[in-house]
Amino acid sequence: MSATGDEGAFRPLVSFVDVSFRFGGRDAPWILRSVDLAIGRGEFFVLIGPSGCGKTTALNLLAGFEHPSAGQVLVDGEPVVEPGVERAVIFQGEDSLYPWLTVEENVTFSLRAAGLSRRERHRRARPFLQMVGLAGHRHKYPSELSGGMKQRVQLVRALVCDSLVLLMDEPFGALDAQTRSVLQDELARIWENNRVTILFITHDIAEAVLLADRVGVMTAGPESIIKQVVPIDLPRPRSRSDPAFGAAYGQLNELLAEESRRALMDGQ
Amino acid sequence: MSDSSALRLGRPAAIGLISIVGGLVLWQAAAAAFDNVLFPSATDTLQIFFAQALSGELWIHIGASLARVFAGWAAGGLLGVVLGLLIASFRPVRDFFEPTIQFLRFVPAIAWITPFTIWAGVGEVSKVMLITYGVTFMVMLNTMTGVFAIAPNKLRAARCFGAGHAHIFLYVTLPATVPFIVTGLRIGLGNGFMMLIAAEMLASDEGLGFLIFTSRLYMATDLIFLGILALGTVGLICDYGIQAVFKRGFGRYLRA
Repeated sequence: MSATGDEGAFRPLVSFVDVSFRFGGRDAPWILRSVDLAIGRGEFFVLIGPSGCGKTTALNLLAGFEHPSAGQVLVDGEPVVEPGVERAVIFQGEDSLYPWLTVEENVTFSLRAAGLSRRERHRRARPFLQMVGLAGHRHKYPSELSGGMKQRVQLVRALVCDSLVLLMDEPFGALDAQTRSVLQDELARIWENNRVTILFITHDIAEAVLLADRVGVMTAGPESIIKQVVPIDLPRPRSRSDPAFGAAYGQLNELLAEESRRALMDGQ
Repeated sequence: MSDSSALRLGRPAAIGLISIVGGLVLWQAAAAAFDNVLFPSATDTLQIFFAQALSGELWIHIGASLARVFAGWAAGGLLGVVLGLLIASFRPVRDFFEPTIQFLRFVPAIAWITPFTIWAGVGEVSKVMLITYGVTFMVMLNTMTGVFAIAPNKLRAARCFGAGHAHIFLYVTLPATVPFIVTGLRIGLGNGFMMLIAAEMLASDEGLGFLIFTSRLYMATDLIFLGILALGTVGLICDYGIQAVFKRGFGRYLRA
């Protein structure tokens, strides 16, 4: 089964066409090898795989932080050449926030760079801050916020850009289980309302089942590819206690465990 | 609330005070074991302090030294920040200056006393130049360290969210580096005092370095001790001053 098997059915917003990547020259090992991927407009696509498989590399290519060694990454038919607000990134770590800026100043960074007035920046940020419960904290600095709140700040910073696609790199990976689950539900709710296209990276299978329209399972590196794309046809809002949830979890777990075992064997 | 914050402030201050008082007591006790001419006691030094303070002599020396140090520190600080930011931020500038910096790291500022004096005379200019040199280097190195320490995600986020080179430099690189700049300025001030004393000992008519160095000719050890004490006190007050000014003016940039 190929990731591009349903290519004719819809015109993808994001596509990886035969993308390979390695750091450095000829002798360097391939991180990604001939990756094909198509993400539809308004789709919530989750990329999952064993650690070190190049999930983040794939996201960095789409973000424009790295460039493919071969192949093309396209957004709306145009090749990605550099980072830009139409592909807003929510980073794994909170170190991407600016500690000298308040919550509101952080989330409106892109609007300021675009030259919008203070009033306009405030006007645009307000509904998003309210949506994630940060309105009362907008004058605080990141150091005064919990980990969950900092990731909400990152989410709002991306949402205010009105991007074509959001790139989320294990955004809840560093949070405690309780906070993670709250934020997952919050993201699901927000996405059901705005249906923005999302590429979401995680190694948490339950997270993938809870959020994804489709899940791409990557092979263990090096020379990773997307070995299978699994559609998650569960009604939303989804419940972790739904038996169908368990079934989807089991299927992904099987696929992933195979790769993790392979990665371990190769490592020996 | 005010009680607990007073306590928070009060405790370290009290401990600090104990160290000062303890030091004075130790000094007094140690001095009792020696000839007062070789090792004046705390009370001897206090006596000469009052005499010098009342005659105005002490303030002339302090004033002269402070003026030199401040001029050199301000010039060196500004130069160090600008050079540090440029060298660390732009690869070609860095490649150009790197060998020079590594070379100059091993030439202590004191080594420049003679050429500076030959070029600029024994007046104020050569002294301020020397202090400027010592400060510039320290501030520059710390500023560079600050630029290198910026989390890559901060720069990536800036590019992702539409900031161009100038915007990143002004609104990410510069603010992110402020804590390192403050550290550089504080260490730089220490270097400045070192250069100051070296320069004043060599050639000057006033200043704390002059006071300490000339007093040896008359075996006026109490004056020497007064000079040393004044030096430390003035430096300490300046350091607290720098910290207070930055905390007030740039507090948001000092957050973690």
